[in-house]
Amino acid sequence: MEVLFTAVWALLEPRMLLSLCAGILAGIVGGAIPGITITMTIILALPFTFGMPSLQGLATMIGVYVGGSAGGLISACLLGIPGTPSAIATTFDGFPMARKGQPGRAVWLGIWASCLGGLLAGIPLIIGATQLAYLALNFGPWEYFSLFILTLSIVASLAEQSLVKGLIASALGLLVTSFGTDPLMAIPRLTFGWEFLRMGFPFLPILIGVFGLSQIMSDLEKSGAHGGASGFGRDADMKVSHPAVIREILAQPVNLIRSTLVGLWIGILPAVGGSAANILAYDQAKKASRYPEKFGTGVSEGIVASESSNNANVGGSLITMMAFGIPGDAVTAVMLGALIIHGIQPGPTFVVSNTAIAYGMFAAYFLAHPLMVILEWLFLRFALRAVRLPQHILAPIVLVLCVIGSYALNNIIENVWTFFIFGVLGYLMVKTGFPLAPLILGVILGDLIETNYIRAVMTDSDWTQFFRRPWSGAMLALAVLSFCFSLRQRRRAAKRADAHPAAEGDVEF
Amino acid sequence: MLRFDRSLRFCFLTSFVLVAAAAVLLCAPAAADAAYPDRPIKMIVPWAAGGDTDAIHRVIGASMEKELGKPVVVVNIAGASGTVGAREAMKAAPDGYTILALHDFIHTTYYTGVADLTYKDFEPVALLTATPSVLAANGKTPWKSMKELIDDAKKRPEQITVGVSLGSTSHFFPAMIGQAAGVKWKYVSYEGTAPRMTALMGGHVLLGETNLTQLDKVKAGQIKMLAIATKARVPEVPDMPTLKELGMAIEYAVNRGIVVPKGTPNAAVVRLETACAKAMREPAVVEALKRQGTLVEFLNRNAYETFLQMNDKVNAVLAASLGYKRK
Amino acid sequence: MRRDTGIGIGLLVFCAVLYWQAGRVSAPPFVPIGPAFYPRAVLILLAGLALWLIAEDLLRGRAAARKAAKPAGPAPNYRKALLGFGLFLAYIAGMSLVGYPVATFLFVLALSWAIGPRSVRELPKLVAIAAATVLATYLVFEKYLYVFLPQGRLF
Repeated sequence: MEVLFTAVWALLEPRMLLSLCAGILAGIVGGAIPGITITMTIILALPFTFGMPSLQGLATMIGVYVGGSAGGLISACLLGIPGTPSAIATTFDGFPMARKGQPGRAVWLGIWASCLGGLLAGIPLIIGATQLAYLALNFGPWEYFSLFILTLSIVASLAEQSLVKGLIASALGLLVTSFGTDPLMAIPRLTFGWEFLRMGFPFLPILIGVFGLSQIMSDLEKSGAHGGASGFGRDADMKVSHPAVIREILAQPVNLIRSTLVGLWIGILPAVGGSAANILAYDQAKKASRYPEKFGTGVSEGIVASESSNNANVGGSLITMMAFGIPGDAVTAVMLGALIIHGIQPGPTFVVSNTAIAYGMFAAYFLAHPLMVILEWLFLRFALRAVRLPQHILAPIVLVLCVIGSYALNNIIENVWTFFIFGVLGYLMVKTGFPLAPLILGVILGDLIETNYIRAVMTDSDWTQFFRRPWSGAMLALAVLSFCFSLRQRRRAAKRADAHPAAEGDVEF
Repeated sequence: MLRFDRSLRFCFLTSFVLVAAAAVLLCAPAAADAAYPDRPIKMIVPWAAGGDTDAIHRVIGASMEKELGKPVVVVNIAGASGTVGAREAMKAAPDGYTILALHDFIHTTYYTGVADLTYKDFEPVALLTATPSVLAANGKTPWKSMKELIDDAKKRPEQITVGVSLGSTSHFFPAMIGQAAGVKWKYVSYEGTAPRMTALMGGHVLLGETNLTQLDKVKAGQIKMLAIATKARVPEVPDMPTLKELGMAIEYAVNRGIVVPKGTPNAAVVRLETACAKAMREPAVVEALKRQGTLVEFLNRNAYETFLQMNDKVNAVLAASLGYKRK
Repeated sequence: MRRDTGIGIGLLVFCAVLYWQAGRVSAPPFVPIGPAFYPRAVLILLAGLALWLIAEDLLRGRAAARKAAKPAGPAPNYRKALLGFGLFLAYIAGMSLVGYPVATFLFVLALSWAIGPRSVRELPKLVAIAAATVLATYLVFEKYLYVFLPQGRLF
């Protein structure tokens, strides 16, 4: 404990604090711009950290990480476009809540949930629980495969009116990842001999295309002939009572802790990433809820689940990176690279042999959360001014930013075409009653399922291993249970809807 | 309406400020001399950020900046074992403002039929580093030495699992050992260093190629290093034998360098070569690379050209003997 | 023909074409399961689901089908959406021709004019906004963050 306080004290030095704040702010802005992910922001911030002493550079990066994980919620709530993949589930309830005239409540529920979830997930960091990471080593390809099947079973709860349409959307998502080259030998497939298809479809342009472009076009189509206002009424209230919001979150302690644990665990597992964590946590909240049919119309539990899990995910990734020197996602990969440039190689003995740096990083993680809340408050004043612009001015600018985001991913124009194609697909799906979330879930999981299945079979040709290995078998059983549970919830909701036919929700996502 | 007007006025104001700022910024470089380089140089790293290639080239790129006077900006274009980024570099304008971080994948992917790019599609600038390969086993495996491993492997052919990036250097290295010792492994695909190391530590594969970066995990008992593919033993781990001592004529390292698209002006290539040479003499760079388990192996562009030719032949023979065929 | 049935049939055709295309790869050495396995498994799943969709649609009563298809809210303004998609398509296609700055300026101007109130008095404001967008993004990304934005073939 004492070490931590010393580390916090060291960080309170103005130069350090400034770097941390700069990192957080960059993260928030990058996170809030659709298509600019945390990874990209960190890569862009990397050159600036070269000249700094190692801890200062790391504090900057942790700031970007924490800020970015919370920044995505702003565009998720205000524009309906997840600013980062870790804010996908935040759109499900945040956007409807904002559109119903409570953008302030939506955004601040998200920010406070991020802060609380992130701080809770930091506890294992202090109590020396980098040991937690060792649990992740038990996960072999079988366990990963089963985990992803379990994640996929969420589709039954994400599908809206029609179960089969939800399933079709997810199957399409699973198929999308098989275009281009296969993940093992990079052999081109489904290319029709066309160079564009040979590159495959990267995830990020798909995400912002499906949510962003189709959302903007749907808005255009809904606006009258004479250029409507932006999504919010002029009287949309941004003012919130912070104690009330915090009380609202603390009134759901089970949800908060459950989502934090989901985020933490997914973060600890290398190579799963934040995009799965928030959807999983959202689904858990929905399953536990007494009114699951209200999810997707703007309930606070949905926002809290998604946002607390994605910041907890940051804590989890840091644990794995520090314990093994192995990056759990692209963001920690860049951080690891930065550590190496500064001459530090994390690994099993890192915390013991580099105490000052390790605890400095923990301290930065903790300090970053309250600072994030303050900086978000400042940034929101600007962001709101932007989203209050009339639609005909806001829409082109958002589209340009989406284009830059898609392009900057690989610096190739093909990604922008992917963005466009999936924007059209998303729009058509909304028009014909297919839900978008299962499609995204399929795209997230496709490669992971394929790779781990083949890996498992390559290691041991006996496929009963999937059922016989305890973790793997348990997760497959859970997947079946989870699917059935969602079906039951659906049937109940349908019955209730028959009883009160007047109540009909939005059909947007 | 009042609020909209305020937002718009805000917009106006910002735009005017920006226009003014832009005018100043855009006019300034116009006056400057047009000598190379007069703008930032894009270094394509054809692997994901955070990998070995990325880490090594970032260190060197940051140092080259000092000599060139313009930033060297790393752009990660990952995919298909490095070939997506390589193809992107090949297509780029040959003006010296796009350079490519290359390693042995250019040979192995060609001979495994992953891509039709070869080293001949580029102009060599300099060979920079070599990272010697180490054969490592999971910490809980019973083998105490290379000999015990080979004996065990002879008893159960194609049963001991090795984590590899199929068709890349981490695949070729254990395959060479298998060939020299007369044993057969069971290859399991783990694309990239990070997933391979996790699987090795968790015991989901028993063997894998690694390098001296991972020494920390040896101390923690998670992995053990059985042999290194250098000419002589390394001071960091004096008790680790070389493959040569064990009777296998294998020296293996991942060689990394910098190339530019064919047709890049000679002046630019020379300038880049000088920058590379200076970077590789900088003590801080050498030290950072050493922590990456990497040695400085500088060759100028002519020597690098010869090296690439030689290396290509070696890999062609290797690929054929390992059973890969180019379709 | 009913809409969902149509979609189902379309999906079946799509699956068939891709199933055929997926087979046109050669099996690699060392991997027990070739690259065609996964897409084909998903395609079979997708085809099954498409059949389910068709069956569900055909079995559902006509009245129910009509109820499900009823539009919500004010009459959709499809022309605007189509215009938006069209302009955006022109934008990306034009970008590789005239480069990022020019294409973006024209796109922002055209789209804000097309979907806005279209009053001439507003035009100078729109021009200013388009110019500001280009300059701001160009400066921030290209000059400051070194994201090299697309260059055109003409300029």
